[in-house]
Amino acid sequence: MFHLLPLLPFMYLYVYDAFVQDRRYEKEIQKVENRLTDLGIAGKIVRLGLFRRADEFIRDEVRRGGITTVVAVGSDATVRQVIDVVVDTKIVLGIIPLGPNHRVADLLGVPEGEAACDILSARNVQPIDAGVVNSKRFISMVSIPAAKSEINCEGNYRATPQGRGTIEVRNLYAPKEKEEGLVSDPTDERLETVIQIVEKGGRLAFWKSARGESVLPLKNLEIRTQEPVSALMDGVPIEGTRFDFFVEPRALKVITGKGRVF
Amino acid sequence: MFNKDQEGRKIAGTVIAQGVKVEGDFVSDGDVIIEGEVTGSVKTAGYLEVGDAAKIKASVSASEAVVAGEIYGNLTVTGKLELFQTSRVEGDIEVATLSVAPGAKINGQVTMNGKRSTTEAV
Repeated sequence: MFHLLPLLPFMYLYVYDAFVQDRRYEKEIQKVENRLTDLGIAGKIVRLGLFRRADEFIRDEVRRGGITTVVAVGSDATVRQVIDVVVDTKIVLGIIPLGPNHRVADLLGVPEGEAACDILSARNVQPIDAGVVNSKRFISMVSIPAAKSEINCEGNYRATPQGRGTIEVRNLYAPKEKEEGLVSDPTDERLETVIQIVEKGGRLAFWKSARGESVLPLKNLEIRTQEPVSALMDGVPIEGTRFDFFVEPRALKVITGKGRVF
Repeated sequence: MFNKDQEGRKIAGTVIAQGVKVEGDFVSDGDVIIEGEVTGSVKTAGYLEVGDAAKIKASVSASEAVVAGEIYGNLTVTGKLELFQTSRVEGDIEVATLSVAPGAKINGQVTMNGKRSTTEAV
């Protein structure tokens, strides 16, 4: 006797950021929803607002069972809102970039708007490292503005910029088109710490092409600044004088496109 | 010296540029360029390049090295060591293959294949 068991499909939860609910994104959202339905990957929708936190809602949905993929619909800041709970619950992250500031999606090879639906449907899932700073996760990088600072590297040595230096701690990074620079691979279990010194006049000092930058690939590090600074974590501000970093190897499962940089 | 990805883009290695000072036990399993200041010890399983502005006050070991700057400490290289004319080594050198440019300064003992010779101001 045969039993026809229903196939268990991937269950998607779409998290719409508050700004994509604006009227100017109405047409684009409609196109996205139509395409998702055509591809058979439509799912439950959560609309974020001032008083609605993404992480609590996602945790509840995962607890109820069935959710396999969370899709952040919006910008890098939207991804930032879901990444901690996605890693904690070991589900897959997808992105539909809309509006400005979606560098993370670009690096993962995910195009903007409706075209991202086909990437979701193809479901090329890659495990990548997650960066962690002060107990919060990031995918691409943390950028610390020019300040007097000191870096404690893996507890073995100390790197001190002789002057005010900008520091970027990169997990996933590639220079933009026509820019010079190094690629940071998010599967190498390292965070590349890039230091650039600022001259007295305030301009960045590039001595000899890329060699003006110090690059330290590290598993963990601590950065202390003399004065409080506002750093950017995947475009989202975090403030303080103390930033403790480590890498979580292959902690994040993410849907990528062919154009990914690693 | 950096590795490159499939599209020919440079993958990050270790660079200590001018304007950065490192103190402590520096260890790397990849290639390293030093253009700044290092105090303590430097150990890499890969290639080491010491730029002409670099000042290292440390014991140094690498598999291969090119030196154009100053090293105050013992230097151990398991493969080939090249000393450029601007280089200065104040310490003992242990190496398999050595190339010294005219003008390079060595003050210390040089050991090659276990045989030692004392060298001053070459």
